Amino acid sequence: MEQGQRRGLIRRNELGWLWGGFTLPGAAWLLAFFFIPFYAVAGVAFGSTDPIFLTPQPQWNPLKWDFTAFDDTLSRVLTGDLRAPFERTLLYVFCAVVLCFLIGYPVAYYLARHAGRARTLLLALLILPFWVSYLMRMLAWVNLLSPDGWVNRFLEAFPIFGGPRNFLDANPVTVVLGLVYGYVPFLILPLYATLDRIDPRLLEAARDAGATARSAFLRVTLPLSKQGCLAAAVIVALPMFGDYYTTDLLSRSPKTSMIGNQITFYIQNSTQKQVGASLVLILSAMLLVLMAYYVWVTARAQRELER
Amino acid sequence: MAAPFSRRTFLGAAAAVVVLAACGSDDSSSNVDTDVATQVATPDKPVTLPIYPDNPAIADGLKPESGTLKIANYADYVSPELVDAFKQQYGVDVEISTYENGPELLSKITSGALKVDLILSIGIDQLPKYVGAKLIQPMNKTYLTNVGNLLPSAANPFFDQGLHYGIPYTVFTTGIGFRTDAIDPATVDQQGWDALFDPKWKGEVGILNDSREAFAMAMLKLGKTNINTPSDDDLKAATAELQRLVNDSNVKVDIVAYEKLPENEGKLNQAWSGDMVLASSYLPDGVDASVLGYWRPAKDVTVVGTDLSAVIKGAEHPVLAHLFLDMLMNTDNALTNFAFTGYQGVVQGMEADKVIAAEIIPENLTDTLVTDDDFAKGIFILALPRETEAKLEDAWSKVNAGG
Repeated sequence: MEQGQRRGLIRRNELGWLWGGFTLPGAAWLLAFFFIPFYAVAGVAFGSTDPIFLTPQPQWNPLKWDFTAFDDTLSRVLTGDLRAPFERTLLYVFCAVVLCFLIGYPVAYYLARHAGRARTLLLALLILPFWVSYLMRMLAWVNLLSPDGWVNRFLEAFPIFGGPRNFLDANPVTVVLGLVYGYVPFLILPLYATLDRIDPRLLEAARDAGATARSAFLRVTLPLSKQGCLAAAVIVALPMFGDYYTTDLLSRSPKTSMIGNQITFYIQNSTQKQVGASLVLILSAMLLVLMAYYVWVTARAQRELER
Repeated sequence: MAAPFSRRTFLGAAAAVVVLAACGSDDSSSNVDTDVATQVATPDKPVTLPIYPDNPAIADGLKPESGTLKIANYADYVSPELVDAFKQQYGVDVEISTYENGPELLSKITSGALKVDLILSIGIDQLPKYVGAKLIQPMNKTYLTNVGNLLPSAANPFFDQGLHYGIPYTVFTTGIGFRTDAIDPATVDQQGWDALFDPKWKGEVGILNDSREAFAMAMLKLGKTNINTPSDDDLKAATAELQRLVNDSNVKVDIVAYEKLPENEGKLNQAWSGDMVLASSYLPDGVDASVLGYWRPAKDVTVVGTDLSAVIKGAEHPVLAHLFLDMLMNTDNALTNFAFTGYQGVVQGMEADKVIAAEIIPENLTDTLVTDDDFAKGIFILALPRETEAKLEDAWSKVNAGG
């Protein structure tokens, strides 16, 4: 080993505590805003209710947890009346994520490969909607899609498209499009970052080796962007699973209600907070499976890279 | 932004649960007079709430305190004009904290998370809990010079005989708000609650996002007036009715009839009378208020609601709190408040001709007004036994699951 390398190694070991210390704020943040709230949710789900005030009485001691409310809620989710909103949520999120990719991937690809000087401007335009709150953006859609809104006025003027319709009448397509509209920028930005990092020389090498533009994309760009796609899918899917506002604003019908609406009802407007907390835990468990898959794929890709 | 799971719904819901968890405690019911806290007053069995020796009313003739009067209230539920006038009259400040619903307020008050002098809006089902837990103090009526303005029935109500603790603040009925340019008022009169179920209005109908109100409506439609003592069969039948509305009429569930009907987003909506008064101020320019209509059932089968005001035990500004309530009971001030909130004060002098002349309501909405007779004969939504309440909530969840 060269002397300089050895010195660098010693220096790294000496400063190990410092680098480790950098993780402390993040760890404290995670502890304060994830683990403690999560434990509180569990405490409420497995606790009891004050008989007079009907407020939750969390049970902090895991040895005394009462699983009755959780079991009842789980059985309602698996075979009872709460199965429908769970299935609906899965379907809406799946459709919305697919649509986000169909819209977002080409945009991210264009930004990374072909936008040239306009790239900064286009990125700024992508971020621009975030300056307006989600609520206001959805309310804008309500105005656009209302029976006498601009979209229906357009359809009235051009009956070729089938004439005006009530988009806000328990319409699942409207809810899915609302989710897509609300979350697609979250997908484009990480995808853009991934695509931008792909070394253009790899594509040139593929083309030199006789690959067509299409096969270069399919055999080089797409596989190399797989990690970014997964990360982007996680970033948009997780918030969508808990979304309740989009369907509240764009439909207000029980026919399009999502599991987030049930969580909101039980936590904010009922005397059975345990049911709401149990739903949070059940949804968390389901998302944990999806997250585990993401972590497994990412770890495997990392191992392949290091090989 | 919406409620993302990992960042917002999860943390949001978690935060809500954390707040609730913090509000809940192992001994929150200890030191509570449970007999009082759990009693349910009915017009047949009126209740006199006890005055405890360790929780007396304030003494007579005290001077108003200085500083800031802290009030808890629903958002936009008191006229800023009156608040400003009060500040000016007594040279004090007024700070208003808002809450979403009764249970949230009760949680915050019991846990001490919210420290105020005065609560403007407590449901009558919650009043015994506040009294039994000694969270509010008895009123000293020597400060309430305008208490004689209250409607006679409200001056000695069945839920607080002698008006010891809660001063009725607003009163309203539940009925159907509708667009007169779409449906003839005579038709709604004839159909009553059935109008909401008419297949003709598929996609144009809404009901209140309030489990008790929705079930009360479904039960009244079925001819059952026992909305405070429903049997399992009653709940099942009402659930089926509400599910029929979901499946056949694409009913919308919300509490924004006052916005939707003026904007012509829907033709009929279960609505509180106060929201329909408010609706006339949401009409687009150039649209006459005659497009709005309100129907309510006969007096003895109308759901009547009232919000009560009370002074917190240990309030730092109890005299100011009394004086604020007194100001609200002044008839002219009640009219000012009515004009701003859309909700009628429980005082005399709210006759149709006077309210129309003051341009608070248009002529076609006089059915929104609540009379003393309405207050005396109407059906109030009262507390349910815990088990029944849980069953009703699960049934409401089932309706909202839309399966």
